[in-house]
Amino acid sequence: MRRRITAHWVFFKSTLSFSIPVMGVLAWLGLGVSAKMPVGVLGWISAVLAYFPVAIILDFLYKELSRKEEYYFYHNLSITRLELWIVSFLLSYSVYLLSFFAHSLWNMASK
Amino acid sequence: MEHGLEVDSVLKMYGEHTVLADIYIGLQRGEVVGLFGRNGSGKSTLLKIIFGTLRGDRCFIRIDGKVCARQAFRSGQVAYLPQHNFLPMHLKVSQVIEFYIPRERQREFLVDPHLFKIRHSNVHELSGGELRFLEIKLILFSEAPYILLDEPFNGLSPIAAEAIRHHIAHAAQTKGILLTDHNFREVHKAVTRILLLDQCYLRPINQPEELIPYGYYKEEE
Repeated sequence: MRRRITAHWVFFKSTLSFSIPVMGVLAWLGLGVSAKMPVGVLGWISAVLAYFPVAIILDFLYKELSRKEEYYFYHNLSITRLELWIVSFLLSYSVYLLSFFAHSLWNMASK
Repeated sequence: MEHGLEVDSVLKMYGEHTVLADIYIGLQRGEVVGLFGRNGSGKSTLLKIIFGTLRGDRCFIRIDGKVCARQAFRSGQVAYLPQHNFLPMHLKVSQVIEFYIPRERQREFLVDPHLFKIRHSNVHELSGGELRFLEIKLILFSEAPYILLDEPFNGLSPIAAEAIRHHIAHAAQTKGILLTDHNFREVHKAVTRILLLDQCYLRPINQPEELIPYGYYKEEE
């Protein structure tokens, strides 16, 4: 079980080299056309991290096109492709939710 | 067959074109089966169907007497070496070894002139031959009792290929191994029996001479 969890963590980390720059670009494009700008550092972090799950989906497409063979590393550990992406998506979404709740708590505390 | 990997009634079609038809393979621990066939005859397709990463139009798999209803790799009983390099480039060799090799066998795994010098390297720093050697040995040392090797000798030097043949023979003491490679002379030295995939069907080869019509040996050899 520990080996599976570590494998999922390794896979998630492997998505970051693609998804973090893509998240930055998406946030720049998205917030650039947005009428309402985030307020405060936590607001900005939360607004940028909202694009993290989308960047993970784009990384899925990237890996399907260019890094397909690496899935066999995880298959040999009995892990399916679907499992890998569900866990990575949930992790990225959790990171966004954490920042969102942190921002909300900060707003409530400062009122 | 109470113990062993059994693959039965495999059918695979791409549109109207049949690639595999009525394939049966029985693989027992202790044997090394060589799978021959021309380019595009469906060898890799068959290995992927057995492993579970490609869906056959029909396929029944039984492992040690238990019917395998989902992809075989999910059982942890089958390991597969694909044709192309599969190790994630961002990992270190030592990390990869941690994943695949049980702790008590890691020392035995690393006592190898080909691997000892690269044990602290990153995967992306390895040469093609070093990487292939590492991948094959990882699969052979993995805990899975049934091993599928797709072109294991591809890109290996003669010395490394000989070492791999030795490792295959050693692993076959406890595992069943199914392998395919275009380097049929290396395969021939490593296997205990041969199957030929020809025109969608699989047939056993009892004498090397039976391969002559398929271009594997010249008449005078």
